[in-house]
This record gives sequence, C-alpha cells and structure tokens, in this order.
Amino acid sequence: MGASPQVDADVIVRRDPIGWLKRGRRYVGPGGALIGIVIVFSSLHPFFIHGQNITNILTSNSDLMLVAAGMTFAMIGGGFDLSVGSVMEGTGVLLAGLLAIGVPQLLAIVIAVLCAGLFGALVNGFLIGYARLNFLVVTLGTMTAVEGLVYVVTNGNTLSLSKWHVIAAVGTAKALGVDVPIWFMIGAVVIAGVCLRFTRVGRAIYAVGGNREAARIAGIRVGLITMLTYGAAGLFAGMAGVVDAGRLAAASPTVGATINLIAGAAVLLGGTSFSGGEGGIFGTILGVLLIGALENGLGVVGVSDFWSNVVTGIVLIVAVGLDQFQKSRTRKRFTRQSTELGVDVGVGKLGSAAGTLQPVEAAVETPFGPRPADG
Amino acid sequence: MTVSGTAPLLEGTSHPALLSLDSIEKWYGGTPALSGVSFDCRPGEIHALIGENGSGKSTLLKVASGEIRPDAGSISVEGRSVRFHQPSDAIRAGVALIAQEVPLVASLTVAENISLGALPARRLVVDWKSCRKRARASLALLGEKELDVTRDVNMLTADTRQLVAIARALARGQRILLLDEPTSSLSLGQANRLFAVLRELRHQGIAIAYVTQRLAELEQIADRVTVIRDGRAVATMNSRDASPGDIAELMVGRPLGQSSGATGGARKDSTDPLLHVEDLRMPPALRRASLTVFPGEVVGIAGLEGSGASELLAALAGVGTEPRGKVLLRGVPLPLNSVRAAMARGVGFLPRDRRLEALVPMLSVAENMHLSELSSLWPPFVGLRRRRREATTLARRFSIRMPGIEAPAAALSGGNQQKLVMARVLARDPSLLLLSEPTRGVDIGAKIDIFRAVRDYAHGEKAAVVYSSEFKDLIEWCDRIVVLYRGHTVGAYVAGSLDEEDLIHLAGGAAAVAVGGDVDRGGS
Repeated sequence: MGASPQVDADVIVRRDPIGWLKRGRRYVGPGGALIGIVIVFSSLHPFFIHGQNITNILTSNSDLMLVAAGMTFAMIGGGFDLSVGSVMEGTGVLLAGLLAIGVPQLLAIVIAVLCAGLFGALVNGFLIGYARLNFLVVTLGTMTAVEGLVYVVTNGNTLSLSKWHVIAAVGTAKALGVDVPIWFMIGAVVIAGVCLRFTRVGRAIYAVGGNREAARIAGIRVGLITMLTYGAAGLFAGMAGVVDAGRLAAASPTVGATINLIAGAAVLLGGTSFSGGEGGIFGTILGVLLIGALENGLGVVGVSDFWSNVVTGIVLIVAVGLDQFQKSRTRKRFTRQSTELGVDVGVGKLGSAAGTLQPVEAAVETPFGPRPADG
Repeated sequence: MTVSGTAPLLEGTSHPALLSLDSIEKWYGGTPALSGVSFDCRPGEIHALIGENGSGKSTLLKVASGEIRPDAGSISVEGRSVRFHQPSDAIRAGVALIAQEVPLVASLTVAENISLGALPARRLVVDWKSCRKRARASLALLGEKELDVTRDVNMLTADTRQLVAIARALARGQRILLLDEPTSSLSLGQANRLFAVLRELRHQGIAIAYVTQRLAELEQIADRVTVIRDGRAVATMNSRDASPGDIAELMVGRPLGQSSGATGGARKDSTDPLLHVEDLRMPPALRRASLTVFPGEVVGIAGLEGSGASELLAALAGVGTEPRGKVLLRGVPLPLNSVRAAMARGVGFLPRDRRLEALVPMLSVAENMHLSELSSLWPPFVGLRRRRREATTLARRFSIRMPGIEAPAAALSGGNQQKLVMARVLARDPSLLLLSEPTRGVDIGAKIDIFRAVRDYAHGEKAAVVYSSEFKDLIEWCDRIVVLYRGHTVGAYVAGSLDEEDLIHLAGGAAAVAVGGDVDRGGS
C-alpha cells in the first residue's frame, strides 16, 4: 500500500470511496438541474445545443463566472461580498484612466486587477477580518461608496476604450480557436480550484468558515485568512471588470449592477453553504452554467428576458431549500445521538457508557461496518 | 443524625409539598440516568439537591421543569398530579427554572423582561406605567427596591440578572423556584446577596429547590438536603443534622476513609520548574491563581463550575481575554495574548468544548488532525499524500475508530472526536500539555485511552496540566492536584494523599470557609 505499509484495511481506506461519493452527492442537485435544462431547451429548440450558442453562453457569462469564483472564497470563509459589482465597474474606470495617462495596455490591465484585489483585501478584508465589523455592513458600505465614486469620475457616462486594441482583444479575440474571455474564465476557475483544494491558504479558509473559534485556537491566523478571502473576491471581480471592458470596448458605470447577488445565487446553487466551511469551485461552475443556460434558453425559445430572473430566483430557493431539508435530516440524526451521549455534563458518566456509542458508529454508512470493540 | 440509604421521609413541617417528584426514572439508551428518585419541596423551604457531576441532578431538574419527560414516576404540584409535555406546561403550573445562564432578552428593559409574554396592555397599546409598576412590585418582594426598572438588562451584572429572572417568576405568580447552581458565576459578595433574597422568599412561603455542588453553601442556605448519586437519591435529611463530612461521604458513596488532609505537595527541588504561574488573574472567573509544574509531572486542576479552572488553562494557552499575571515557561516569560506565541513556545492546548472550540465538523478527520499545521502558510501546498499518511499513522496510534480518514469529523463518536483532537495536539510534540475537561462526554474506554496517553506523554522534559470535573480521575491519574475555589488557588496536594471526598470539600470551599472566606494563596 505504498507509503504506509501496515494500514488496517478495515480502519483506513486509502482512497476512501465514501468520502468521494459523499462529496459527489453535493453536486447531484445542480448537476441534475443543469442536465434537465439542457434537455428541455434543446428539445424545444435545437439551436440551444449548437456550438455557436454554447460559446455564446460561455462568453456572455464569463464575467459572472469570474465574480462567482471570487465570491466562492468569501462565502466558504463564512462571509459574502456585496461590493464585487462596484469593484468591477471601478476596475474598468481605473483601466480607462491608466490608459488615458499613457500606461501601456498590458501593464494597465495588471495594475487595475491588482488594485481591485488590494482594495478587497485592505478595505473589505481588513475591516471584516481585523476590525471585526459585520461583512454585510462593510461590503454594503464599500459597494455604495465605490459605485458613487465611479459615477463621480464618469459623470454616469460610458468611457469608450475602442481605440486600445489589446483591451478589445481581451473581450473579442480568439486564441487557439476559443474566445479569450473563456480562457480567462478557465484560468480563473483552475487557479481558484487549486487554491481552495490544495493549498494551505485554501484549507485554512475552509477551517475559518467552518469553525472560526476552533481555527483560532488551532493557531490559524484568522484575520489574515479572512483578509485573503476578500482579496480574492476583489481580484476576481477586477478580472471580470477587465473582461467586460474588453467585451464592450468601454468602461461602463453600470456593468456590475446586480452581479453581486446573481453571483451569490450561483455559488449557493453550487452547494456552497451560506454559513461557510463547505462547498467548492466545481459547484460554482455548475451554478453559473445553470443560471447562464437558463437565461439563454429562455431567450432562445422566445420567452422575455425578464422572465429569466423570475425562474432563477425560484430555482435558487427550491435548490437551496431541498439541500437544507436533506441536511437537517442528517443533522437531526447527529443531534439525537449527541444528546444521548452527553446529556450535558449532568449524566456524563451514565449516559455515555460504551453501549450507547454503538448506534453512532452504526449510523455512519460504511461498507465495512463498525470495527469490533477493542478488548 | 438521620442518614440512611433509602431517602427517608422526614416528619417536619405539616405543610404539604408544593412540588413533589415521585419515583422518577429516566433512561438514555440502555443506561439509567435517574432510577426512582423522589424529591419534594414545601412552601417556605429551601431544599438543596447536591451531587457530583453526572449524578443526575441536572436531569432531575430538567424533569421538574418540563424540559424532558420522565420514563416513569409522577409529578404533582400542590397535591395535584400534573404531566409536563414541554417547559411551558411547567411554567403554567407555577414552576420556574432559574438556569445558570439566565434567559433574559438582553436588549430590553428590566420592566419588559419581567412582564415578558404578558405585557399589560390597554386596547393593543402597551401600558408601560403598569408594566413598570408590576416590575417594581415584584422586585420589592425580593427586597430589591433600588434597581431602575427602565434599564436595559445587558447593562446588569450576572447576579442582578438572576434577581430579575426570579422577579419575573414571582410576577407570573410562580411559587416554586428551581435554582441550578446559581452561585457558580457569582462572587462571594454577590452570592451572599442572593442568599439574603432566598431567605426573604422562604419567608413568603415560596418553595425553593437549590441545586449545588458546593458543600459549604448547605449550612448557609438549605433547610433540607437530598444527596443524589448515580441517579438515585441516597439520602434526605435536615441540613442542621448533617455534617459536611457525612454529605461528602454520601456523594462519593464509599465508606469514610481516614482523611489525610495533606498539604504542600511534592516538590522536586532538584529540577527547575517547567511552568511557574504567579497571581494569574482574568476577571471575572479567575482572580488569583498560582501554580508550579515540574518536568515529568501530570498536575490536575480541581474546581467546580465557576472556579476559574478552565479559564486558567485558556489563559495559559493564549486564548483568554486579557489575562494578567506572571507566567514563566522554563524561566522565560510567556506572553498570554497570543495562541500562536504559546504554540511556538511548545504549549499544546486541548480546549474544553470540542464541538465549539476544537473541531471543524464538516472537514475530514485528516484535515482536522492537520488543522494546526495551517498556522503556517508556508510551503504553500498542503501535500495531500503526506497529510493522509500522517493522519493514518495518528489514527492508528490513538486507535481512533472511524468510517475513514476522509470522513467528516462530525461522523465520529464523542470519544473518537476527542482522541482526534488529542492526536492533533500531541502531533506537534508540545513540552507543556494543557487539557481542559478531556473526558467530557466520552465513553469509559476512550477515557482510559486519553488519560493513559497523557500519562505516557508526561515524561522527561514534558509535563501536562489537566482540568477535570471528575475528581476520581484526577486522583487516579495525576501526581499533584491544585484546587481552585472561586478563582483562587486553595492549595496544591499530592494526589495520593487525597480522596475524592477531600477534593469535594476543598473545591466546595471548605478551606476558604476555614480561613474566613479569604482564600490563602496556596500553590507551591
């Protein structure tokens, strides 16, 4: 068995299949809904699954995917970032400003995106992680303030960027036959996924979101980690801002209008919980595709655009409601057992005799059954 | 002296009991928590219920307040048989539970809290004037005439909140009060004020059931005492007839061994202490604690709820709130404001509440074991294969039973969760191990595993400090025991020189009472 030769097969499973299955189960809901939508719309109108339309869905939702990837960080860390839409707009305006003063185009893009990330980390992240202010209050405040600032600078006008060919290329060119926004999207998703799943920072985000106090007592720098989650949210929103600036060949003060809430909906649809500590990028991908496909499909079959938000809202509540229902059933099982175990300190030694532990172990689904009690 | 094994009924006052519980039984799984307990409370009487942790006194209280339903037995109020399906039934019947954490709405005023759920109103509009009047009247019954009823409850101290809760009960016309360890979070002065109130209520014919672990309180406040042990009421007696020694003996359930009364403790003068704590304070719980730990030792901390024992360990681990005092680890001052600094100095801490303070329930067993590694973010990648290998080794070493290393920590039983946290702490090889209630809610097998691991660990340069509310375990597994009472160290004792009874005495304030309420510094 490779590195650990003396592992009891009945205790430890090297590639624990239950874990994988359990984690997979989370995606059954959004995945199934996505497949359902694809089947329904493609049978209503074959153009829906035409390659051109699929590319269309992907490019038009590339900004949503980027913002949602960043939002996933904030939400796994137990928070939410309302300011992402404003940051997106702000990044576009900043980009326009940098270009106007003669900064080279690629450098301007990099600076604008980094500024968005720093804003997220040092303003939202600092106030939430270190000053311990409520995340909704802080991001509602920065959302409003940045939005205001964007209007102050632009006077509400859209700033044209059409003369900058690199910027336009970001939105419209193709590389290796695929639109550049899609490359951005893929890159962002891969980076976010690797970061959340395989790095120390990523796992610390899960720990902080799952149990802040336990993370603190275990020595994790809770404030720093919180700051980083909002930094990621800002960074990805900045990338979305650049992509949109490219697609429109302009910096618009309205591109981010409701994207914060739609991105949140996408993350929730993907099985990331609002209370933090759970979820992941794969779910977010499903959530974004679900919303994108729904919106596009309704358009393709000729239903008014306005209906898509109605349907998205209903789908969100149904999906999250079902998830909640399933979770509360599982939780009930655990709480019932722990009351039998603990019954506060009161019956500690009576209620927790070895016998009562049996049902707990049996309740955990395992192909091997509970290990026989030690002698 | 009326002590017998079968809870004799006393012929005392002629009044019939206001509240009477008869032959209550409660089972959890296959284990009895209460087996045939009878308890009654007469008007104008304070009837104390005393027992160790896990003796069943909290369960009995929950039965009496309608929070849990007994499996057998009957409850009657004023002679009429009643059945409580939920707490509101008990409240309506006139039974008020005054819990340790008083459930008041902190952002409302005293007057509103006292009338909560029954605000006086004239045609849908709240009649604030009569609301305040009613609040003042019921507070006056407690002899509390100073309190401004328009103040918000969150501005009040713990003892005043308790009074507000009692006043609410009186305002509702409840005549039976159940007090659950009411002094555990109070200072001595505050406790005396509460006692004065209770005596006043006794005068007015209120029936008071008083649950406590503190022996010293009995003679101050109780008329009768019922001792509960292992889910049975082992004796009921008039408190003036019973000596603290008798009661302690009944609580423990073993015949009286000769009390050694040893003080001092083993000093290993040849070696330098690993840890030296002097006058550590962390108000309100911890007032003045001193402690010395030598390499190779397991030192137990004995204290009741509110003694400051768990706060002492939290302060040493750097998770307390603004502790002050002198703490030397290997002769070098230990900063008390940072978990990370403590960890870097070789302090390992097992927190008291594993669900709130130690585990991230939805993350896997392996990740939970690995949690402290995330205190450093370098190298950037976790190394999944290494993590799995290390977690596997740790799981074997601590014989953790689980469905798999990738299963969520929530799927483990209490004992195995605790072993998981132990594994995490010990994996960092700390030189000073601090454990707060390591065996709480843990089965007997796991308990032995955990103490054995602690014992094995404390060798050479390493030492452990264990706080447990189960005195038996401390005596069995520790070298020395330091006793805390109301935030003060009472003394340090060689574990072998003490029995459980001595600890009950000391932790219950016997030593403090002997020196007139002011606690001597003790320690070593």
